[in-house]
Amino acid sequence: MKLSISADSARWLCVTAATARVFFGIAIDTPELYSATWLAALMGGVLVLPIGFAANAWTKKHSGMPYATLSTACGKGAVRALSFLWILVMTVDAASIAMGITYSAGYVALRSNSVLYLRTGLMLVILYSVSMNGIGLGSSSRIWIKAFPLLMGVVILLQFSSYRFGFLAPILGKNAATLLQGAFRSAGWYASLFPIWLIAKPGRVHRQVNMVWSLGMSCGLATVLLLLLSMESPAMQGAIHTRVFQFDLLFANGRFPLALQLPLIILWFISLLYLLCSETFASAALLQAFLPKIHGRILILVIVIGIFAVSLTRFSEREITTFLSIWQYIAVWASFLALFLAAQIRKVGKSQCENAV
Amino acid sequence: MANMPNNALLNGEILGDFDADVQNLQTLLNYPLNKDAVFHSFSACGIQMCVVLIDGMADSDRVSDFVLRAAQKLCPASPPSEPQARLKFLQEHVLEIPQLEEETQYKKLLASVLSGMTLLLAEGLQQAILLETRGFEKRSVSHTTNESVVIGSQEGFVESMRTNITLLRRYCQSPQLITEFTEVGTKVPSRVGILYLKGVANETVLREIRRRIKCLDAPCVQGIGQLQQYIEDSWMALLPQMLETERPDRAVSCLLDGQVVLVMDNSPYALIAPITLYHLLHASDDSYMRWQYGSFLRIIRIFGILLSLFLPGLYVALTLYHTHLISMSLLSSIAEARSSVPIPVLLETMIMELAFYLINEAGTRMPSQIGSALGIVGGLILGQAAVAASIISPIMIIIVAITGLGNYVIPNYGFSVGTVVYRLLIIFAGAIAGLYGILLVTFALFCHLCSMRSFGVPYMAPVAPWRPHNPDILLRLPLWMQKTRMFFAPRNNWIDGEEEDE
Repeated sequence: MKLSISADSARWLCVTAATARVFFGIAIDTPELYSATWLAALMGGVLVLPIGFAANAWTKKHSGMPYATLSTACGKGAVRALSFLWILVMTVDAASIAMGITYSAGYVALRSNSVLYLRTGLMLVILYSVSMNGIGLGSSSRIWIKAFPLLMGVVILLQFSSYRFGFLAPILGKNAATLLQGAFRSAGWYASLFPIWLIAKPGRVHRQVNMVWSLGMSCGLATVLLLLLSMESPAMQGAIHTRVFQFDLLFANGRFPLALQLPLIILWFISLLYLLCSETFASAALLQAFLPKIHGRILILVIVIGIFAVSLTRFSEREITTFLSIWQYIAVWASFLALFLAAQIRKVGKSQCENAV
Repeated sequence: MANMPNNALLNGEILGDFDADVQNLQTLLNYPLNKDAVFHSFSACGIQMCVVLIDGMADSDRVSDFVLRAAQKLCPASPPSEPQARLKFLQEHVLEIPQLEEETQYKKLLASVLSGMTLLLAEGLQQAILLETRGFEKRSVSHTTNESVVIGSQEGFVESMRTNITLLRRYCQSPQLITEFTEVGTKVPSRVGILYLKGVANETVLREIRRRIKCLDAPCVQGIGQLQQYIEDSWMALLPQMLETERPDRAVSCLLDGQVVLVMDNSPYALIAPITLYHLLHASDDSYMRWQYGSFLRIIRIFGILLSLFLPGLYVALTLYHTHLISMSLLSSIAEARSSVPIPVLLETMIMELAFYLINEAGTRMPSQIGSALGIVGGLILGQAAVAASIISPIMIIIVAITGLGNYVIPNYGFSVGTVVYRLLIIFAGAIAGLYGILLVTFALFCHLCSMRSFGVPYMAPVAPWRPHNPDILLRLPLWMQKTRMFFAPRNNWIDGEEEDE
């Protein structure tokens, strides 16, 4: 099975996955931002936009799958090395998300079930869903994005009376340094779109993934969602902001009947499942790019086992993933610069050889 | 595997020797053991002839009037002796049946005779003549049984393929409506008709349909349901990838959209491909009503399907794991209702679901004379008595009833059967892991649906992947807004194109 995703499917998967990643990362794993979560998401989007422009410029100049065109221009070795690095980063990130999903399941109801049991079921579902290939994931994410506003509308309507603009103060959160750190982290999480862009094939309707569009949409959605979340409750300085505490703020917040958690639960879990699937799929597809003879399902199984194994270790804890996120951003910039430089060197080298002949 | 008897003879051809050919045909038809086979030799115009037919399949009156009597009427002094001239003489001056063809292969001759045609052998001819004389008893066109509508045509397909094609031609009187015939079944062949509108149907899909039918190597295909299972994309999928309909108006509507219709002898259904999930959600009379009501009914239908899929699973999940999500008043009613029920909620749900399916199945198989008794048994005895005996709670009766109603609003039978299995999966997922389990299973099923294809066409298109389409997917907006064919029809088709000025 050849793992592939069309540009049209990829753009929707990018938006779903990046929005979910940024929201999860900031709302759950970066509580020190207090009321400035939405601002961090917005600034992160601005920081990562130049990468989007660079990616668009590349695809405008070189038609075809970006992985293939970069390999031709920059050399297979360089692209493979970076892809391998990306696979490792995404595996660790996906493990953290898997951990987050199982903790959420435990918070919502299944506290008495073992984490291993919950995570096994999750991995089996991811294995099955990702093996539906890019069309299954991409098409379903497109429909999810259309259904998302409906459910979100219900949540907003129910919580409308709870929103307070006053809860947005202080605007910069704890302090400017923390805000800047949050912005770089969210930029790193937005940059998780990059591997999907690498493997997206030109499609019928959309020839290439428009990274600026995808980043813009993700940034807009994440910012709005975090803004609404910030307006629900005041910044609780001094509280011990564990993940469970953050889940509690997200799902319950004590102001409306618990019965109305249902739309939130659906939004939360489905979004995170798309995120997990997109990282798994992108990793497996990148792995297949330099192991083309191996069946896609086997590679998906390898990646899923890897994610499962890492999720049982400390590498999937909040501290490590938030630390990695800033490096993720730097890594994407460095990757692009390195690849473009390599492309330029090879181009100059070729023309010199041609002139010599 | 043993070959059919007389296989070598069956693969042979007409010898041109009248007596030998008659003898061969008698061997192939097991005459005189087979009492249905009729061999009538006669002489007319100085030519020895023999008609071969199957009693009951061919119209004997037609054979008598337009073949035997016609042959006796015309008697020239010297009939042509050269084979081609003799053949032409018989075709143009003797036989009074408009549809006739020549054939030399025993296999095809036999298939035609068995389907009701009459074979005429004549001395001096190198081939046999097949005459269209089908006249077997068949059911007349009547109301549809499984696709009833309030507004719209009440006619339904019957078991005769010829009648079904005639119905389609009545509804679609266009010279571009093409009928191709082919056969399926290597040992016992059955005729299949492939109908499409030339210039509107997708050529790639058409080629694929022809290829799949040609590659079918089953010895016998009994009906359109079996044909569907042989040629569909994914045999593992729970939902059908081709649409079965017994309504000619629905089939013609699909023809006009660029789809291909398959009909088969002895099947009162037509098969339509390619399809998307939305074809399974649409009913025939949606477009016959005003758009507001048509849209409203579609919303009700989708709501019913969602209830049917999720209500029992949600009930199990909420009562087992998420009681805090149920409001206090409802929770206390449920608790009170279930207080005397000794069995777990999952078992209670499965018992009721099983009882419902049993009643469903019994209702299908039961003779109509005692059908009303089923309502009494099902409703009063199983429902009321079970509650009185505290085996199940009253709320479970309500849930199963609503689930059943939601299942019955699904217009397509194959889809409704598929949702039954999905519902069971969701119930088990809810029992194992609550809402988390339900969401995991739903997500997996959703990805699976989006990856399915019907003859290469994505199952969830034109919504995802997006393709240009009319506003007729979930809501049925006004007809004047629906200007184009389905996305898989060629863009420059003659239905959507402008007429050229003369």
